[in-house]
Amino acid sequence: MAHVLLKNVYKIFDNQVVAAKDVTLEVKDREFMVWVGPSGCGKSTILRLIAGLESLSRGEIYIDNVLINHIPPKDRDIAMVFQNYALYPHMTVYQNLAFALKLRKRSKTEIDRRVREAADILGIGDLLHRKPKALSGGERQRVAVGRAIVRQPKVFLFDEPLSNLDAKLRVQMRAEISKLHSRLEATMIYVTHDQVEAMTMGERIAVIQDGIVQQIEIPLNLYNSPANLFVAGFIGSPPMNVFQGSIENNTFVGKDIRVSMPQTFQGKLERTTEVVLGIRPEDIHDISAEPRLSERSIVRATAEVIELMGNEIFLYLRKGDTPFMTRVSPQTQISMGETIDVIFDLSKLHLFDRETGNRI
Amino acid sequence: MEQRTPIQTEKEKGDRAGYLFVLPYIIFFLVFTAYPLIFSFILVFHRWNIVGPMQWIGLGNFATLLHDPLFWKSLWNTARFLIIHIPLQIAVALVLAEILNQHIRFRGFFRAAFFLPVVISGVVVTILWQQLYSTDTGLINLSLSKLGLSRVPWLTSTTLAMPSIAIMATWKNVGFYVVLFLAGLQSVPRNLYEVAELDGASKIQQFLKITIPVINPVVVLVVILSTINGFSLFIEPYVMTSGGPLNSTLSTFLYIYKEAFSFYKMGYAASMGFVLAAVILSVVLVQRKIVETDTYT
Ligand SMILES: Nc1ncnc2c1ncn2[C@@H]1O[C@H](COP(=O)(O)OP(=O)(O)OP(=O)(O)O)[C@@H](O)[C@H]1O
Ligand SMILES: [Mg+2]
Repeated sequence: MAHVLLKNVYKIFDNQVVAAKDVTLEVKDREFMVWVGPSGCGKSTILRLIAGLESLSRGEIYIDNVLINHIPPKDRDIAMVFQNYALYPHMTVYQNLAFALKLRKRSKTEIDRRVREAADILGIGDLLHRKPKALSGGERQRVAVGRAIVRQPKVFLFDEPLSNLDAKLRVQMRAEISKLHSRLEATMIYVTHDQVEAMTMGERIAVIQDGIVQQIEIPLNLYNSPANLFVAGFIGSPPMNVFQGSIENNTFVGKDIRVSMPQTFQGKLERTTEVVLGIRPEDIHDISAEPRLSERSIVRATAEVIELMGNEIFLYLRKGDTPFMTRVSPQTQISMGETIDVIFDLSKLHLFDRETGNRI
Repeated sequence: MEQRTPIQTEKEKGDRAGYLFVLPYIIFFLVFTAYPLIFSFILVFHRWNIVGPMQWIGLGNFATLLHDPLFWKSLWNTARFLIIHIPLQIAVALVLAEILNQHIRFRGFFRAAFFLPVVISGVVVTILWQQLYSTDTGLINLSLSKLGLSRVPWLTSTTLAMPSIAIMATWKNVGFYVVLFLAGLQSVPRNLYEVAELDGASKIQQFLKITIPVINPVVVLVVILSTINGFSLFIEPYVMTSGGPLNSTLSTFLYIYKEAFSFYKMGYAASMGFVLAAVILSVVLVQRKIVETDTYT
């Protein structure tokens, strides 16, 4: 059992930087929650608040309904894995793993059993006598994770643990950490600024910006109904197309683009007229592919940049002064400067209040 | 082949410029290091009183040295000095560095203050401490007697004089080692302490099990440097006690100096110099074996 609850948590540093602003967030028992956000948004700081490495400015943190604000880090039963691994350089892998258990005065046989168990899980059994200097980045990463799991803590905190690894190893470790989670059935909080990591690993994702939690959702909902413009732009790659404009007679009128709004939005549009229209690149289709859509709107635009990705084409288009992009099939015949008719899938439109940025 | 020639000359030009740049150092090295070293090595096999001609005596100087009780006493005195000085120096420097590494007020001021004695002339510092240590008028003894304690013969007792000098030398040099340790402490990644804290290590355990092992290279450096510096103990006994009382503060360096410039036994002094160098080298080698740990395998 380990359930983490943050209630109205603030962290204001001495230099007046607000790294956490009214953060209220619940991590369920055995959940794998990912926090994602741009660099400097406060992810690490909030994680460190839970670990007790930073002191709270205001608010409450509970683990299993026990207030831990004033409990020192070592008594919180939390293990943290850092981006730079932070392995003890003078100790062998074995000693690194055993350190916490030794401090807790466990018996030699118990320490040995638990170290070897953790080493087996991570496949580092052959490295136990080596020192960190003699390990590759990926191996160090495993040792850092191993050091966390030998302790069998209530909560695991990962602070961008994979960002120092090369792309291929990252994909592999991503899967391994996910596997580890289902094997250990532990509560894990995983911080990253990589949205692919977030989408693939998280059971739920919290998107953070400027110390404020923007949205907490399961990955698919986050993608399909972003709560505001920031989340819409941050999740998804390439990012969502956005158009500034206003609503007139149930029609979106932008500078160069007019789209009649589908039924679902009617009734919601009376109050706000100044809006931002969003549509993801994959929801704009090449007309020659003959997509079958019930509600559609055709836009004629000029191709400016064509990026061949192999399995698809990133097509950067322009209508008047308004640029947007779409992902089309690699069979699409188009060359630069040509015009093309594309279809907006109206059932996939997102609409945001221009003033607040919130989803309508 | 023909096309190569100009390139070659270019290269030679570059080489010549390079040699020109290092010339000042080479001259310095030849005049102040190589020449004295070679000259004193020649001296080792001679008797020479500066004014007269050199007289070849083979290994005679070493025979004298083996049976010179004052030489062995001076080595023993130096050892007594080192046994107090080195551990004291390291302990004090490490503690001060650790304190200065915390976020305390006036940190910059304290850093400068501890370093000040290092750059002040040794003679000045020694005269100052001579005053402090003075049996009848010294500040230390005056304070002691104010507290109702008896006066201590800091520099006039054969047992206390050397420890007194060791304490003073520590005070003078500690700032230098504080700087070295501080650099070492600041190179320890903060994350290491954070992980250790989560692992359950107390502050003292963090210091003993993380800090000390991680800064081991600095510890080795400090041990070796303070040993070499300690062996060259000279100004303090020269100014304060001239080696007394009863030769109890006669360091090997001071003895060499006296033999050379009071009695003009240049050959003998040079021989002692070489023996001392050999002693220092072996002590340092042993220290490295003991202190140095290998972080890299
Ligand atoms: N000790 C500190 N003192 C003052 N400001 C700090 C301190 N630590 C972090 N900050 C500031 O707090 C903000 C949040 O920092 P934090 O490290 O939590 O960001 P992050 O989301 O983890 O970013 P990244 O993805 O780059 O790791 C930043 O603006 C940072 O400059
Ligand atoms: Mg961070």
